Amino acid sequence: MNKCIRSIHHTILQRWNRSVVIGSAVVVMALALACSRAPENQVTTANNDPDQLLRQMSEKLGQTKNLSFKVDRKLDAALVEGLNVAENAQIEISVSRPGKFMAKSDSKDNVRQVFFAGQILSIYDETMKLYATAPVAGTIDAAVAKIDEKYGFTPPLAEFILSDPYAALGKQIKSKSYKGKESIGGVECHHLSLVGDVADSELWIGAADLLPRKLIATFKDREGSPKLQADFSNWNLTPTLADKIFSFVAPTDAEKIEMVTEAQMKEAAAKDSDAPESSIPKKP
Amino acid sequence: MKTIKSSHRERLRAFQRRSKAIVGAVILGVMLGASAPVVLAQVYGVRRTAVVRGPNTTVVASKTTVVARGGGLPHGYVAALPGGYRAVVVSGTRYYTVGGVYYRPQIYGGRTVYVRVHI
Repeated sequence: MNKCIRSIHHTILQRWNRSVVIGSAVVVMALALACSRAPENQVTTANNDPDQLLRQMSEKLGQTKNLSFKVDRKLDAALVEGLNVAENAQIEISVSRPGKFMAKSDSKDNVRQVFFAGQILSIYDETMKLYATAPVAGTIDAAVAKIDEKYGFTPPLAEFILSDPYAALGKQIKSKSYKGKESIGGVECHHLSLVGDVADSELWIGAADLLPRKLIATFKDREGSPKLQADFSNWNLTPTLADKIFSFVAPTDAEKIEMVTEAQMKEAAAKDSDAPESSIPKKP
Repeated sequence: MKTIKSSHRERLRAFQRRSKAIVGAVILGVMLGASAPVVLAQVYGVRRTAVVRGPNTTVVASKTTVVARGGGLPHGYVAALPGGYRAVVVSGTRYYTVGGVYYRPQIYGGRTVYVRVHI
């Protein structure tokens, strides 16, 4: 009798167990399906709705697992902190979702790289052969938010590598308007005008591929309304990216230095004297 | 007999509760992870304006104010070394010196900056 009861309960337990497993599998499959919609299957119908175009661009970027692109970025002098000279940089960005990115910025005076492979953020000043690392864990979104909050910067044009660029850009934009079609580098583009609190932007999105092609942001709150111009090119949404490109390995002749946090720098600024001068600190 | 029955029933219920909790937590975690937008303090990599706040996070100045960073580092910091510098190693640490002034390199804002130090 006891055996019989045990057997019945065992069967019930097995059935419940199976239903939980099947239920979980269905949830996981549905999520996987939602996340893996092929970018090329997206609706690419040209329309004049700036919000829709921005959403389509965002979905395409956010749903692409691996991507790489180049940006020719021009910063007016007022936007280059600590230096009163304009900066032109060629930037190469590689992304592997959910948790890896690498960016290399090459300008006249400096070559530097940012690496993130899920656990550690590394910055390498190739020109001066100096590097710093900081523990930052999580997805690209989490890492970018943490770097922004703690270290006071973001990877170049980070808005475009987040999982939801529309949400990130949406925080900066108060209104959008459609300006028509224009050719950028021989590519037919939709021209959007985006008005924000901090910056007003002109964004050109490829009519056929819905990828960003050009961005001009005018920082209207700053004296002289300085501009940032980014020309996007070499988009590859199916690159082969080896894991090692996201992990920094320090060259033997490079020296490790400290990565200063925003809080430390604010503290130094608050002293407003020769306070940053210090005796020899411990090696980081 | 009753004891065996009720014991099995309790085990069954406990298992069901645990399973429900796990599945619920997974779904909630996925939903939260997917819906949390990133709000950055930078705009295209450029520092956003700052709102001045007083005690208890009350907005003192409702109009946003540009962070006064044009030229932009605290006293004692430079973004680039003066010309003619040379590297020196003191106690195993690299410094740069020019005109009798010593600088220690640090990374700030994703770039190398140099803070003046006494050696």
